[in-house]
Order: sequence, then C-alpha cells, then structure tokens
Amino acid sequence: MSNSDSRSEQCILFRLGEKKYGVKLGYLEEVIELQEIVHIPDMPPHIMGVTRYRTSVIPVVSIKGRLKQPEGGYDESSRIMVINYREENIGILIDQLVGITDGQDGNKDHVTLLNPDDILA
Amino acid sequence: MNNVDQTLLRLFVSSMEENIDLVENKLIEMENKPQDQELINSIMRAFHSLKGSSGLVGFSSMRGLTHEVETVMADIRAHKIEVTRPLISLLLDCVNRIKTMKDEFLKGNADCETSDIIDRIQRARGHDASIEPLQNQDLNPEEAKIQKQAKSMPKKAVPEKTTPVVELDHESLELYISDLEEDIERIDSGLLELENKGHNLELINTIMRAAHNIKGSSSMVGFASMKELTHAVETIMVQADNGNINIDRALISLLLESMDRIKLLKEEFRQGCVTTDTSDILQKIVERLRQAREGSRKKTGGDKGEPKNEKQSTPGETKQKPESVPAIELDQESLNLYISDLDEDIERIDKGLLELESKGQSPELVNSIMRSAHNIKGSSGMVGFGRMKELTHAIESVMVEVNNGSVNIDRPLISLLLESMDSVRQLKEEFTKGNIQTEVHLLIQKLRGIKKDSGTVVEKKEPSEGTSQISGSSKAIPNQLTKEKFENVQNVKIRVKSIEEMINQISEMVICQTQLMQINKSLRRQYMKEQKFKEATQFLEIIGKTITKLQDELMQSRMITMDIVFKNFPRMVRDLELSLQKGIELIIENSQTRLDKNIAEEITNPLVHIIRNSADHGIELPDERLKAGKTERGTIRISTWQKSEQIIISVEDDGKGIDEEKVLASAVKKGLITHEQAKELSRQEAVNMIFHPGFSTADKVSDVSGRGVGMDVVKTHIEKINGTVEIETEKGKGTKITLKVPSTMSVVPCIITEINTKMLCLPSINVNKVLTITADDIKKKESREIVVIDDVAVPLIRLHEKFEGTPRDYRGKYYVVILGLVEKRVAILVDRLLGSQKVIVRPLANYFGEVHDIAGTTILEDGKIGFVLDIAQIVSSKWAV
Repeated sequence: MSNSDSRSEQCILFRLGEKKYGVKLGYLEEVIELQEIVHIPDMPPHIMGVTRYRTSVIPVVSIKGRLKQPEGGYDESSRIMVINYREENIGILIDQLVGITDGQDGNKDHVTLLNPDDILA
Repeated sequence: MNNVDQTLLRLFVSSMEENIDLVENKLIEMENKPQDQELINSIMRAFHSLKGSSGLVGFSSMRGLTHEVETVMADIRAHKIEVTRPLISLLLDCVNRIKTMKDEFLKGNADCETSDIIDRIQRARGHDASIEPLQNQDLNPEEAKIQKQAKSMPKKAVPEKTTPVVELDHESLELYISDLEEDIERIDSGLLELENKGHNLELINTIMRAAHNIKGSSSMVGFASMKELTHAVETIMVQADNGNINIDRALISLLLESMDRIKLLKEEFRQGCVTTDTSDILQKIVERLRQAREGSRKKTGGDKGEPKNEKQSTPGETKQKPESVPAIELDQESLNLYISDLDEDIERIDKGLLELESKGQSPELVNSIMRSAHNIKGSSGMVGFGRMKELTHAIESVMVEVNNGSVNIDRPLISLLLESMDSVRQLKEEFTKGNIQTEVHLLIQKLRGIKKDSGTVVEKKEPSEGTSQISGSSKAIPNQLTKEKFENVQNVKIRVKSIEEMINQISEMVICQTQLMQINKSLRRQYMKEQKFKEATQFLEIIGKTITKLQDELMQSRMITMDIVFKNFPRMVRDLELSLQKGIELIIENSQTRLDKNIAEEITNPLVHIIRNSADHGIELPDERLKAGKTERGTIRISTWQKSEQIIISVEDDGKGIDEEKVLASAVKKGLITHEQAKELSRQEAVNMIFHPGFSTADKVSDVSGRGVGMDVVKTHIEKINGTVEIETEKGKGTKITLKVPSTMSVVPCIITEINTKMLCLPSINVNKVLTITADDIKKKESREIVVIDDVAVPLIRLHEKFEGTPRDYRGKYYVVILGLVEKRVAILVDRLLGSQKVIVRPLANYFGEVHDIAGTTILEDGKIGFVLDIAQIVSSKWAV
C-alpha cells in the first residue's frame, strides 16, 4: 500500500486505532468536524450513512474493517476526512487528525500511505 | 425560439434510438427465454412506439416496416409462431434495417425500400407473399436502358450538393432557418384553421405573407427548390385571395402536402444536402392553378419534345416504385406543362365520371369528359406517349358513343371508365419516372367492347383549343417584393446544457441561502439588537428573493408552451378522420400552459396514443352516433391547466366509453387475471386493466391502434416523469383521461414526513391524500397488507423496518399517505407530517451503487437531510405479482 513515488508530495496524516496513516493531499478536500450522520437502509456495514457537506449530501464510510482494525471507537476527537474519489466527495471517519507531512521530511517510518482506490473500492 | 420541428425530430430520433437499443438487447434475450411474456411485451411495445412516432413524423416506410414486425411479435405472443433462431435473426435483420432507415431519414430520405424485408417477414409468418420480382424481359431498348439506369443507381438517392450552404456564415443560416420555421408553423396552423373556417381573407393573407417570406429569404440564400415551392404555395393563396380558387379539402390537402415537402427540404438544407424532388408537387399545384383559370383550355406546348418511344407490349403491372428517372428527351418545362395539363384533365374526367354516376346522363358532363380525354389524347400523341394516347382515345370514343345515345350510362360502365382512369394515372406516374410498365390493351379492348354499334369512332367535335402561352406557374406577386431582410430577431440561442448548468448553480445558491437563513435564525436571539446584524439579515433576505426570481426565470426559459406539443395533433386527427371514416372534431383548450421541455417531450407520445385510442375505439362511426342520438361528428377535447407545479392535461371524447365488462372478459380470456379475481375488482379497477401490458378490447387489430400496447406505452412514459393517469369513463357517454405531470423536474414540491427520525420527502404530485387509520383498517389480501381507499384495494407500505423502527401511533391512529403513480396507488405509513417544501433533489452518490426506494437526497430548510422517495420503484415493487 505504501507508495514510494510520493516522497515529493505532501500528505495528510491521521490516526485510526493505534496506527498512523497518510493520504496524499491531492485527494483531500477538507477535514470537517464529526456531525450528524444519517443512516441509509440496506447498506454494507462499513457505510455509516450520509452527511451534509457544504451544499451536498455525501457518503460517510468507516475504513477500520478494511485496515483489519476493530470497528467503532469513534469519539469527540474523531473527524470526517472528505476526500475526492472518482469525482465524488466521500467522507472517511478518522480517529484523529495528526497533521500534514512535508514531502522533504521523509520521516514516514510509522506512517502507512493509503491510496483511495485501495480503501474505498 | 420556435424550434418545433427540430424538437419533434430530435425527440423522434432519440426515442427511436432508445427503442432500437432496447429491442436489440431484448431480442437477444428472447432467444434464451422464448416464453417470457414480459420480454415479448416490451419488444412489442418498443416496435409499437416506433410505429407510432414514425407515423407522427410522416416516415411511412418506417411505419410500414415496424407495423409488420409488431404483427410478428403479436403472433409470437399469441403462440401462433414459434421463436426460433432464424426468426430471431430475421428480427435482428429488421432492427438493422430500421437503423439504416433511421440514418437515411436523418439525411432526409424517408422513402426507403422495405419490400424485401417485409416479404421475408410475411414468409416467416407463414404468408406466402408472392410478390414477384419485377422482370425486365420484353422491354424495348429504351425502357430497358432506363431500368438499367435505375438499377445501377445507388439504392439511396445520391445527394446533390445543390445548395450553396458554404457561402453563408453559420449565423445567417441559423437565422434563415429559424425564420423559416416560424413561417412554416404559421402556414401549417393557418391551413388547418382555413379548412375549418373556410374562406377567410385574414388567414389567407397570413399564409400568403408567410409563404412570401420564405420565398424571399430562400431566394437570398440561393435555395432554389424551396423558393419555387413556396412561390407555388403563395400563388395558390393569391388566387384564393382573389376568389379564383375554392378552398376545399383537396386544396388544403395539397397545401399540407406541400408543407410536408417544405419541411423536408428545410431539414435537408440544414444538413447541407438537399435531395428531395419537388417537381411532382409543383405539377399538382400548377394543375390546380390551371383548373382555377376556367375556360383557358390549351394544348401542351411540348413542341420540341422528342418523343420517348414505347411499344404496347410490356408485361407486368406491378406497382413498383422505381427510382426517379427524369424523362430525358423532353425539356423539363414542356414536360411539366404536359403533366400539369394531364393532371388537370384527369381530375376533370374523374370528377365528371363520379357526377355522371350520381346524376345520370348529362350532355354537359359527357362533353366535358370527352373534351378532356381528347386533350390528353392530343398532347400524349405530341410527346409520343403512345399507350396514353390509345387509352384516352378509347375513353373518348366511349364518351362519343354515350353522347350519341348509343351507349347507356350504368354502374359497370362508370366502373370500367374509372378503372381506365386509374391506369391513366398510373401511366402518368410512370411517365414522370421514365419507366412505363402499365399494361393497357386489355382495358382498351374492354372499352371497345362496350360499343354496341360497331361503328368507327368519329371525332365529331373538335374541342376548342386555347393557345398555349402559359408560363411555368408564376404570375401573381410582383417580384419587387423579394427584398427580404433578416430582421426582428431579438432572440439569442442558448444551449439547453448551459441552462441546465445555470440551474444547477442556482440550486447551490438556494441551498446556501436557506442554510444562511437558518444560521441567521439561530444567532438572532443573541445579536438581535445589533445594527450590523439587522443589516446582514436584510441583505440576506434580498439575496433570497433575488435567487428565487433568478431561479424562476431560468426555469421559465426551459419551458415551452403546450401548443408545441399539440401542434401536430390537428393534422393527425384529420388523417385519422379520413382513414377511419369518422367525423372527429379536435378542440384544444388553453394550449399556452407552460411546462418543462423535457416533460413536454415525455408526454407527446402518450398523448398521441390516447388521441388515437379515442379516435379509434372511442368515437363511433357517424351512423352509430346518429342512432345513439349524438351529433354525427365526435369530439375530442384536450384541455390543459396548471395547478401550482402540476400540469393537468385531459383528453376527453364523447364516444362510446370503456365497457368494463368487456375489459374484464378480455383480461380473463388473455389470462391476465383469473375469473375469481375479476369478480372482486371494482369498476375503476376493471377499467384500469387497460394499462396492463398486452391488453386490448379491440375486436380486430387496426392500423391506427390496437393490440393493447397503447396504454402500456402511456404508462411507461408517464411513470418516467412521476405523473399520474386517471380514467373516467361512462358507457355510451365517453371517456376522459387525465394526465397529471410536474411542470418541471428541477424543483420538486414535496410533502415532508418523518419515519423513525428520518425525513422522507414525498413528491406532492404523487400525494393523493393523507388520512389516519386504525389497526383495524389494515386488511389482508393474498398475504399482503392493504387498506381500502375509495373502493379500491391499496397495498400498505411500512418503511419502518427498513429504517429500523416501529410505526408510531397516536392513540391507536396511524398516519397514512396515499401515493399515486399512473393508475396505481399505495399507502405508506408515516410517523409525522411536517408540511411541504420545494426541494432540489440530488441523486445519491454513485458510490452507493443501487439504492432501493430512494430517488435522491435533499437538504431541507432546517438543514436536515431528507430522502426523496422513489415512487416508481416503491409502487412497482409493491404491485409486482
């Protein structure tokens, strides 16, 4: 999942469970506060529902299952990370926002870089 | 902008493409599932739609072919023929042909050869269509050459680049076309009105002016064939204005035919490739003009016409349609002259014969027929048209005998003469096409056999000859008026796409504004006293109003008036009158109601079906009507009106109504329902059976409608736009079908309800009524929960399980919303009703894949997310058997 080409590009860093992950800034739309998520019937468990984002209504997903982590555990420090995936905005629940890496740092020892295609498809 | 024809054409082509795709896929599916009735129905429906719309745009070859295919599908459905691999291949061949024809049609060629494939279809149906292919044995060298020429010509007429489209810049061209379309429409509606009102100077002038406009501008853009044809139309109107020509049905028909040709020319011109031939119609007009000028009898001036030899013995009398080959040796003008004189004389004879039959012997009539026959004989001799000369000679001789009193006028005689005239016409047609085939010597023998007195034919009377000094067709309007300017265009064309994008952007603003208002409200208590806050609030309100206005204005710009939808109906009803031999008056009320273009496109087809049904099955034959104490002529009345965001269109006829007993009997017979089920249906439910795919009460399949796919088509279209259909019918009195459709899809007025804390938006147009029920009102029918509303069993829907909750009751009462779609209804249990709102519906993210029962989401005024119910899906899933 890690991508070596990304050294030059900045990443958003976040925590899910005990691990740190990064997504290239190019995919990021915005990180918003946790807000009301309305459940949608008949959906797979990782789809939490929909939430309002600006003037639109976007899906919110939990990717913990995908990353082999126990589901749940979101709290007041959780955020919704809105990323652009296949020309749509999708909210991903994260436990905590860590920050932004500078491409030069190169210090990604503990960071797993995620590609939206791997976690959302 | 009055892009009516364009709209219709585009609509036609796109619906056609849709249907073609559908049919192709389904046919392939059918190969594996030959017994699947649903599949067969949908294929048949698609072909039926193709047929209907082809008829509407006058694409008769397509109509013919699709009609045949539909018949095959009907046979399949009735298990008359088996679905085999070769049959599927044949049907797919038909689809391919339909595609080619569609492309041809786009190029302006509506006259496609289909006999070969129709032949194959009929063979597949077990009819041995013994249409012998045309042979060219025994042709004289000349004819053989012509026929060879015809054959070597590519099947599709080679487009000639006649129009210098290139020199015109795009804009002037668009201007020309849009003016053209306006004028065409003016003429079209003028003509139909003229037919009803009879001689009306104002109308005549309008038409004349419009034709004159077209003539002028066409001349300026160098569009000669258009100029000529409109000149001819104008000339007729001038003569009508002068009172020299009577306005009768035939004249209107001729003019309407000309208009069809003009429209075709226009489309071809737009595509930069004009191929349509106008000479035939010009001749008809010239003839009519000639006729108007009574007295000035003349012989043809085909002086330099080099005769085209042809011998008498050519076999085959097939009504083949050869490619148009101009008769070569005669120069066009003399030929036109000859033909137009011919037409005139033919018509005079025809008319005379019919009158003779009804009035009996009349020397005047006999003379007139004799003279005309003599005319034809003479001019045909001059152009070397031997067969025509001999045949008309024989006719003339008979008339001479009649005049002498040696032959009596009786039915058989008139029939024989009329038959001869058919051949005369046939010969004329063939002559213009340069391919003479009709056999006449048998007829001539019969005609000769009539004469009891063997004597020779004496031409006693030399009909008075006028001098031939007529020029083409023109004289009426002095040509100095031809200076037409492209002016008074205050319109700007906007791509629909661009309007759609603007509407999207505005929708964003609307949502922002409502949210801002919401935020403003929440801050109000805290900052109410602050001046800045007050100002901000005011500005916010102004923005709100402005956005609303902007939104309205934009939506209006996408709207068109109903008369654009209705525009072809008068002509259609007129054609129906003639083909069904019924008297039908079409009344259109309030055609200025406006609705969204997309919606308008979606309702055109259903309306066509409804009107055809009314004409075919509703309105009785004139004598039946008289017997029933009704007026001889039936009435179909279309009314439209707007009720908030809904457009209501009703089509009402005063025909015989729908016989629900017959409907039920037929439904049972077809196995759509069981006898027991039939007994339980209420009257309304019985009538609604006509929406069932594959239903028909017509005793025989007619060309106009029948086979029972009509109402099914109506349903499919109306469902798409979330509309409803209501049928009210009374036996012997008539039927009223009411369509309710939204006027726009951009903003959907909804009733907001709550189910287990979720906001559920129900489009108001589908909300029939809201009521409270108790648990006792919920009945079971065939394991389904129903409630009975107005005597009709309505399935009950509980969405609570879906939304993970249980229905909330208020002291034993539950709220139920009744939703209607097309003819079906469902009842939905809700917890609360929260009023109504206009919402902007956004589809759910693609990420979700397919979501059942939810059409989209919206952000409500209070900022909450609302789900908009997919009525079509919920209704169909509840009603699925």
